[in-house]
Amino acid sequence: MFTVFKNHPRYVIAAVVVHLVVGILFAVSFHWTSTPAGSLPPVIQIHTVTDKQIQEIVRSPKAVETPKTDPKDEAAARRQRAEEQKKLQEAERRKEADRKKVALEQERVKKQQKQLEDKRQEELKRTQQFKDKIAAEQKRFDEDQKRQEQLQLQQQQERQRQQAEAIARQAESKRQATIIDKYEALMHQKVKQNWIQPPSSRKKVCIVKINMIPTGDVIDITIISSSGDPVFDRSVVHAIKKSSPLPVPPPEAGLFNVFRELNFEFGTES
Amino acid sequence: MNKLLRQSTKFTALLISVLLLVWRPAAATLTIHITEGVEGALPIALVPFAVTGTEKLPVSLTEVIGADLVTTGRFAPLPENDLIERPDESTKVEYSLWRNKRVDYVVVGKIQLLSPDNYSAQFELVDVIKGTRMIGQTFQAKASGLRRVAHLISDQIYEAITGQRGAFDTYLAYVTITKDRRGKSIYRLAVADVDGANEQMIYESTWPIFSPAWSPDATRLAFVVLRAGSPELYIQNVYSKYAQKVAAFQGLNNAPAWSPDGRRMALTLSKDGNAEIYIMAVDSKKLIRITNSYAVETEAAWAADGSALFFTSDRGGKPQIYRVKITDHGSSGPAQRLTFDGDYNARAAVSPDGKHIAMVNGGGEKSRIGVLDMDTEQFTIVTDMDTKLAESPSFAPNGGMIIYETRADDKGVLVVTSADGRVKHRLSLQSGDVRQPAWSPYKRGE
Repeated sequence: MFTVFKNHPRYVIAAVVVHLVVGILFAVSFHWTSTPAGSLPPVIQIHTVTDKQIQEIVRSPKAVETPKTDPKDEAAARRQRAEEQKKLQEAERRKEADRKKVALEQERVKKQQKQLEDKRQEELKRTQQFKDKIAAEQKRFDEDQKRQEQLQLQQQQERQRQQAEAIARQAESKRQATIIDKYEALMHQKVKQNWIQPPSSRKKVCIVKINMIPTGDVIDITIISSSGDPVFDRSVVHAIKKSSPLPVPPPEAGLFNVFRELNFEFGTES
Repeated sequence: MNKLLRQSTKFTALLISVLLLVWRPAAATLTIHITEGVEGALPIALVPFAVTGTEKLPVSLTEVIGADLVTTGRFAPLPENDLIERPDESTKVEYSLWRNKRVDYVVVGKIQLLSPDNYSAQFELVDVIKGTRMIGQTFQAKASGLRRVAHLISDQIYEAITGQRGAFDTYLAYVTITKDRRGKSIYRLAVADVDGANEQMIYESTWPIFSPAWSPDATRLAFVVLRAGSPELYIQNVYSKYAQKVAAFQGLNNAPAWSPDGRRMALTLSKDGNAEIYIMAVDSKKLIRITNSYAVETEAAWAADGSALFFTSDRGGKPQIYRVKITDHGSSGPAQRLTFDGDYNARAAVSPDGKHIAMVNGGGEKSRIGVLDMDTEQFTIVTDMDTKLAESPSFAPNGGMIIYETRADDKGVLVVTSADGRVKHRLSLQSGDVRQPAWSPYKRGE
């Protein structure tokens, strides 16, 4: 800071001066706004008496210069002088009254002007307030509008994103269904091959519930509906156990939950 | 705003429908339907029994058991070379070893010579898939009885695994034909274990022997000897060999069949001019005539409960099986035709539970064995397509198998088939030409 001051004293001073000027200008404050047309009160015509007029009025008696007279005419002169004095006084008095009247009139006019000015200022202030209010409302409205537009845009984007996701999910579910079908078929094949069906299996049905771990190893077999024939039921349990581990989708397919718990129905009612 | 709401509602609906498509509800467990398995035999490992107290046994029990089980078609014993361990007790069986060998069951056992000609034989059956010991028992026997012990063990294994009573400790009766030095045929009625071992000659004749029939207690055989063209009916005790001629009427004295209570015998006589079915009281020889028609009626078989007789009659023009209800005094009501498959059905054999009738179907060169299911009236041929001259079906006492006669190289051979015809096994007997098999009932009173 000081180095700047030291190095460029002229600029600093200039800057200070400019600041001061600007500061003063701000302090004085401009009133740029013009009186809005149509909203002004009617102009009042005032009769103004200037100082010059008043001086003329005051000076006018001097124009009647009295000539030098002899003592005889002293008295008359005195009288005349007295009379003139009197006239003068009278004029003076009138002048004074006029002046007073003018001053009064001026005072009145000033007062009236001030009142007008006050009124005008008041009017201006109100106008400004009104304008400010309108502007604020406009601003608020604009902001609302903007916010809503933004919200709509966001919602639309979200919708598009979700729709895209849904479509992707649908495709994924189709893909998964294909994988599920495939492994269902593989399991069916393996278990069928391991099921040595007892000769007396006609009209026998046995349903078992199995639980697997992700390797396909069967960790639990529960007969949930017995065929009523222990030999048939055992053949079913054997078929499952001999098929363990069952073919399961690779872990990356993320489908293990579909196969974690399975039912196998062996045999037919007919 | 309304538009937005509508759109979002629409979208929510779409989303839900997609989610429904994607998510299988957690509650609906996937069910895989296996309607049919394979027609396979159960893999079973028969670990040779550990022997103590003697160098050599007169017979290998596991070999006998293995042969028994193979006959049923329901078991596939593991070849001895594939036995991965030889435990002698169930507790020593390594289940996983056998599971890896694709074995379902393991049989282990021990034989000990306790004193001269006095053996103790113990066996245990293990389900290696489930990892459980199923059954086990200890027998005591002489050397001569060890084969029977093996058959009894086979019975127990068979019953434990298949749920059906085994029929290995039973007999087969059959007729063998051999030629003597002068080329003359010698007929012998023989009895053997179901595996053909321990064959014993019951009756020998230069005349043809037919229709052996077991008494329900499996102690006596009824049979026909065609002496000089004239059939005679005999009953002989298989143990004492005591023989008795029970019918030698004019004409036919054929096709004996013991009643389930063993006190009566159905037979065919033509003493009154035409072949008809009679019932004879075994003790008093008193006869009751059952059929009476111009046609040939023969080959009677008893219903399992003794309330009816099945027989062959050509009263309809061709031989078919009929059934007639009987009382103590004769028939009750008219005979009813049962068979309609083909124009030849004869020689009925009733299964022990009475639910199936085996018979010769087709006749002549093409004759086959068919089984009629009495409940469903379904008729199934149990012989193979290329079988010729199938004759004399006879049910094992557990109903699970049927033995019948057929021809191979112009000689009679005996074939054992599962009752559904799925599995067949040709019986190996010492004699070359074997016919007229009869499977004995279960032995009684032992």
